[in-house]
Amino acid sequence: MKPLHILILIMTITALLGATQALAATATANLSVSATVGSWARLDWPNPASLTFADSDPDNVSSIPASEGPVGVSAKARTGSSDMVTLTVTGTDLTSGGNTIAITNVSWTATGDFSSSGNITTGSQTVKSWTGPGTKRGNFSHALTNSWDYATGTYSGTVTYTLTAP
Amino acid sequence: MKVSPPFLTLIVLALMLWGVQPALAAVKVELGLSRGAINFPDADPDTTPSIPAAENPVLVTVKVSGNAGGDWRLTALASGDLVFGSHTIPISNVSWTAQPLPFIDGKLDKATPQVMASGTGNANSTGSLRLFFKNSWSYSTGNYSQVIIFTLSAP
Repeated sequence: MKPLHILILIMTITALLGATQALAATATANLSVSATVGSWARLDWPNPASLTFADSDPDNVSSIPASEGPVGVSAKARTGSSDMVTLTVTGTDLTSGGNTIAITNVSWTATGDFSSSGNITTGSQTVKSWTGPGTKRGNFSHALTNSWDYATGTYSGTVTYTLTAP
Repeated sequence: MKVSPPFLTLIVLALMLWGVQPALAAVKVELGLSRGAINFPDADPDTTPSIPAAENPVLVTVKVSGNAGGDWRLTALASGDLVFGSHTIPISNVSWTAQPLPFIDGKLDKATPQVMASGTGNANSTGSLRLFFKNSWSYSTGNYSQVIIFTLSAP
């Protein structure tokens, strides 16, 4: 190819590139986005939050289920991925006047994500623990051990479930 | 000096393009944001399922000139997911509402630029964007961040 032809070719290519660049105009701007994700915990227990154990023949019904039946519970916790989340239970003895039925006669049975069972005590007991954020769901059932030894009366006490997340 | 027909064509084309360039280069675009950063504050996932940015609204100014007959487009592209250490939250959990037209609502994406506004010809518009972050119990705690690139192009 002759030098003049090469020069013309270069001019043409340059003109084409310049024209192309002139055809497209662009502008940019940046926006920094941040999100603060903090710790939260919530234990959802359906209302009314009460347990009732009906009177029963101790010979025929050795363990009295709560009249309310299984209740659906959800535990929500937002925490660090390696942080421990714990659901515990504690209770007070059942009293009627000067008479007492030890709270250890009340038991829980949990299903679903909370799969566990045990007898409630006046100290804190772990129902279930897990690691990291999320929502756990399951049903809780309670029962009272029946006995000929109980003095008659209408007894009451308190059972407290506590969800703890750092 | 003899010049073959093909190269004569090239000469004419080159001269035409050199002459036309000043006119073609007249397309101008200007893009402005009313702020360079926004933050979504912490909130209860049950009571605040969608968290508005504390700085809402963000104003976006679009100016296009010398673009007779040409299209223009404003897009937003995230540089990645929201990141905190080794933890990520999909950037698709950040969305926006926009007004007035031609600004439209959308959701951020890290792979495909999302159109925020578009039109034909020249433009001189200011859009009001409200950004929202989808809240969740499943996020690990932390301070997450990312950069969003707005691009205005014409034609």
